[in-house]
Amino acid sequence: MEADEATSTSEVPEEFRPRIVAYCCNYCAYAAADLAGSMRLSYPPDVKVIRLPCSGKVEISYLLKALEEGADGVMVAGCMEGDCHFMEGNFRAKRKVRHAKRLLEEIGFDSQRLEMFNLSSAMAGRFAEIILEMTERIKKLGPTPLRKGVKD
Amino acid sequence: MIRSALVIGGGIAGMQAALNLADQGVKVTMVERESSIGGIMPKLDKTFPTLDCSMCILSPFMVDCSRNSNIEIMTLSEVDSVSRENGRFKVNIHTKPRYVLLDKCTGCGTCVEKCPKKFPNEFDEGQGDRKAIHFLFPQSIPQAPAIEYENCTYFRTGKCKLCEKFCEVGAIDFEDKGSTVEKEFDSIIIATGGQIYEPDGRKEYGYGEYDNVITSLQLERLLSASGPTMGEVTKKDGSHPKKVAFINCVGSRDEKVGHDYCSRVCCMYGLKEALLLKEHEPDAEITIFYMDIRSAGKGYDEFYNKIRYEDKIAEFIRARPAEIFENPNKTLSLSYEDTQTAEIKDLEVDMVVLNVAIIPSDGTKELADKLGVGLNKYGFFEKSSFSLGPLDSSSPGIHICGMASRPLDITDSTNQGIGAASRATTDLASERTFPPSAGYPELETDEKRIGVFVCHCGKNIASVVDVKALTEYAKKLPNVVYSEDNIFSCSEEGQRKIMEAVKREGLTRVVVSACSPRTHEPTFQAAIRSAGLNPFLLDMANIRNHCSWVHKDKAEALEKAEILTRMAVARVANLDPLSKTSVGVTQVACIVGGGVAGLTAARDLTRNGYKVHLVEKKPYLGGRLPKLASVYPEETSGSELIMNLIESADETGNLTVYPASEIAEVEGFVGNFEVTIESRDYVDYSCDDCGKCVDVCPVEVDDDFNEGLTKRKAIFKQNTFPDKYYIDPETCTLCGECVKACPERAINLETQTSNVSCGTLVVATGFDAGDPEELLKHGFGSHKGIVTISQVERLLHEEGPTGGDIKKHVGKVENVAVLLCADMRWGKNDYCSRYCCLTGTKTARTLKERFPDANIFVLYENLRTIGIHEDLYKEAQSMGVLFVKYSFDEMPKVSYTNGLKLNVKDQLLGVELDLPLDLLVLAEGGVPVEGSHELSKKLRVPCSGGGFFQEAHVKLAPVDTSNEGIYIAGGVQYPKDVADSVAQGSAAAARALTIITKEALEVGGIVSFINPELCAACLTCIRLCPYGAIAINEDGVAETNIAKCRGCGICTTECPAKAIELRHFEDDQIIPMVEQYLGEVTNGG
Repeated sequence: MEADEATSTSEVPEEFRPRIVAYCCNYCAYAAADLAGSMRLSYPPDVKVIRLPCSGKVEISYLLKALEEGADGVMVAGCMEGDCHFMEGNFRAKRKVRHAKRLLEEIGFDSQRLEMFNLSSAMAGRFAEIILEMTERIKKLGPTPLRKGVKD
Repeated sequence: MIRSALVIGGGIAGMQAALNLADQGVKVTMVERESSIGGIMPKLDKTFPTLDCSMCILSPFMVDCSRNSNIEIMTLSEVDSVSRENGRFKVNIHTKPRYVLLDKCTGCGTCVEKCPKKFPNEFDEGQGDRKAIHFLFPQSIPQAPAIEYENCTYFRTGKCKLCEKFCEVGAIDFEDKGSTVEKEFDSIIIATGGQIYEPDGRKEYGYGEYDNVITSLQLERLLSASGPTMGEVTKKDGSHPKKVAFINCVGSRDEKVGHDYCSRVCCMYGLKEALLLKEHEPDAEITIFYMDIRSAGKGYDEFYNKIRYEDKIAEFIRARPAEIFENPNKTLSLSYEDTQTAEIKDLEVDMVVLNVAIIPSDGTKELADKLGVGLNKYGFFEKSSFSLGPLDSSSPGIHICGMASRPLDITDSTNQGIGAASRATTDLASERTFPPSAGYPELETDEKRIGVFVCHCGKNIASVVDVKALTEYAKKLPNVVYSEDNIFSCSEEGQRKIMEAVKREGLTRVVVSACSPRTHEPTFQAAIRSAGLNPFLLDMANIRNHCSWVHKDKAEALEKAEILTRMAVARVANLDPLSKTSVGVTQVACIVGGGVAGLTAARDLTRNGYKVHLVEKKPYLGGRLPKLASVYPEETSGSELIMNLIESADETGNLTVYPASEIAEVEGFVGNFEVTIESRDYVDYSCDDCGKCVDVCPVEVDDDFNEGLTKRKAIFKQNTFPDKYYIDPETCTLCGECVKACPERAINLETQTSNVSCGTLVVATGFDAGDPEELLKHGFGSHKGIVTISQVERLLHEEGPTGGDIKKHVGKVENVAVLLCADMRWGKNDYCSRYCCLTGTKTARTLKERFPDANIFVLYENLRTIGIHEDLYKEAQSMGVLFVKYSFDEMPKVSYTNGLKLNVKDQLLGVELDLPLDLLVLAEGGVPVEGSHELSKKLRVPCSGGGFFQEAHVKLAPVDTSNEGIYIAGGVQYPKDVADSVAQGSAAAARALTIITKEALEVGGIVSFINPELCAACLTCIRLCPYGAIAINEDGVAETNIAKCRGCGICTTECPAKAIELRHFEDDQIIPMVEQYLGEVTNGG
């Protein structure tokens, strides 16, 4: 019934609240997010972090699966280039994100919904900035065409 | 006999000492006179400069102390008497009655609730109330209350006993008479800490008389969410302050009250409190009265700059208010002379915070008498030597750490506490004992019974996220059979509740919705393991750092907390029980860097009976120290100090030195590293010092030992260790002339490669003094009168290029200026390197001593002679050295075309000074050693922003790195003085000992697993693994070496056959999180 109401009122809800999955490296991005908390920085609540031991643990299927499940955006956050805790996991992640973007473009899906970021564990401010950046970007793009609950 | 040590004092230094001793197989008795361990840290709201919640970072350490079977905690206890027998100590320990039986009490708190009388709460610094029976603080360890005899109604009137009546377990014992026990120890560590100065000695500030004049520690309690006002900063009348003044140096740098020294922490905690106050009261106008802002430490100056110049949290006035008056409306009037404008001014505020000094704790004198150790002139415990014996008393077997010997911040108290643990074990000759492994229980049932525990974190989570609603929400999630909320899940009580629920409800998996798994996962893993559950059947939802602390909208925060919890529940449902296995440890250490920190670590490790390989880049040992003409306050030459240290490290026969050597490669993992060392130590010990090689060497270069003041050949000799000629491999052209000239055939120009196995590494590569690029801005190199402090040390050194007569270099020494912050804090290097105010002031004083008639100026921006080094400043001042404050906006200008001159605007007198100079001394700071980035890569230890090695935690793990088994000490972590480098050297040794004292370590757990059925032996994973952890096995398929695998998971993502999974992060553990977040998935399991 709720779904009916939602679809009947308008195609796009008045205030679109994106749903974004962030795969974060435990050593940098996740730690930066922790620090952002310690510093009481403020950022939008629309990103949910999944902790991985290294951004190199991100599989292309993780990225595509999240989009398929209806994520409006997906991001991967790893260490600064050259500073990977596991040496070059972040370069692996970069390649995977690039490859996934290409796949998305091939099927006509806006690859801007997927992005890779690099930051260090001390860059709490940057973490908050990235979250804001990604949230704003996805808001501009609007809901994903694969959004569940708006199925036919 | 089992090794044993007594730790007196249960604050952070004592806890670090106890934990590191216990982890080296030493039985520890920790004596604490309060009813809980913890010391000062539990009273603090946040810690600078990272603003970590003080209680949050401390709590796991307290719980570890209580859970470690090698540590016995004796609270409400004090040392009664001490005697020595056969090299051991016999100690009588007196325990005061608690009136609560620790073996019966469950910590439920009913007694506290029922107790009828309230009294001022000492823990809250007299603010707020507590009952006659009370917990010292909510997370206290042991988690049991104590009755305060003086205030108990029963003891006063003979009636009441309500606590006894309501105690369901019969834990109240009014007959408790306390006890005295005698114990024997191999060594004693004094960690009795300091205490704050009660400013009643400064009547003019009206403390205790005026309503709204409080101490910084009182404000700390008001700021704390678990404090008397639940985190509201209020005045005596309950209203919120709108104008607040902080006064620095109350009781510090103050001859009036007899504490001339600087308390070292007050500038920083004052800045922190101002920032937190602004967060609590965004409209408050804050004024900070200061003399110098001494933000000297890693990240400290950045913290100061942000508060003062970027965020403009407060107005800073350089003044010491003369007096405070209370107005009839309870506001306060301060009168002061602004030293930068010389104006007498008044300020009206409604609250004054006194940033009070640290003084020796009560009972220090009595304890010193019992132990037979001395006190220094300020009443702190005296050390055997300030610089080289910062953790030793003058009495063998008795060591000192933390604020017992001088005011220190948490980081340095931690360094000293850990360090004391390696000093103490050098005294111990008896057996080590380790508790058996806790084990990794199997999962006996396939049934998924998940328990969710939601933490309030005091008010940190609960003030934003509706914790009760979240707990109810969790109950409805798939497979969740139980949920509850706790005020502090990490407290002993919170953990006990989790353990009880696991057993009572038959839980097979646990989710804790609380803070970060990065800090607290081990705590909760240990808790569920104690309850018989495999520790890997746990997940955490980070609803604090990632939610309540960053979102203000309560509805949004609750929604996010629900999603995060739902995701964690989805993951935990599919987690597998994992186990670790035991691998042998190579009980040998490798130290990189042979300066004072590395040599200290080498001494402590070799004297503990372990073999040490010491790798030094230079052809000789000692680092910067042997170059120094004198070390403050010993007034001894650096070469003498370092030779003593080298001797004591070398005399055990356990030390192998690799001069002119570097680390080429490091492989392996904690317990078993393989280190490849490349040595260019071309001259062997058959060298008989004839010197013929020098005559024929065609290469002439700047002598770096003399800081470029002289030239030397590529083959040369220094009066240090080893005692022979050496070749500097960096400048040697390998021409071979020396080889031909050497009558002893002692020279071989081949690079030698050695492979050593070790269980642990200590990195102590130091720092470089001076940033050449920045020093150029002051004309360095353009005029011989412009020198660095390092050069002055050589010019004053008897064995230096001028035989100690600096006049031979500059002609006359009549007018001298020492420029502090020459290359730090204002240009490219935006940090404070902490030691240069000390060395700069020392240089000025020494020159004044030698040339009493000379005009000697010290130009400073903020003078940071921190701690007891304040003595040096006063001494220099009294000798007639003139101190001139300059501003970074108007940097002193050097000209040297027409004689050496310096122009500086004196910020206090407001006048411009044109100083003709014979000598301009640039006080250079510390920069990362060249090549440290490459070394950091080889060691897989990250560098922090400035290029210094990054510690695992700035406060509580300052010598650990993110690479387990690799520790850091001294300047490689951050520039510091000799005493602090030595303390860290000992600390790194203690951490290394926690590895190499063990015959085996546990490995495995989160590692990759290759399914042999699916593996096509394509070798992709073998090529990709950064640790060489995968190889083809006998069956012709790839297999992971679990001791080498570090769990990055890179192999899993690249395997074309999808044959590899990373345990604990398997696809079916990650994907359900995504599905639960996004889909309306009905997860049936």
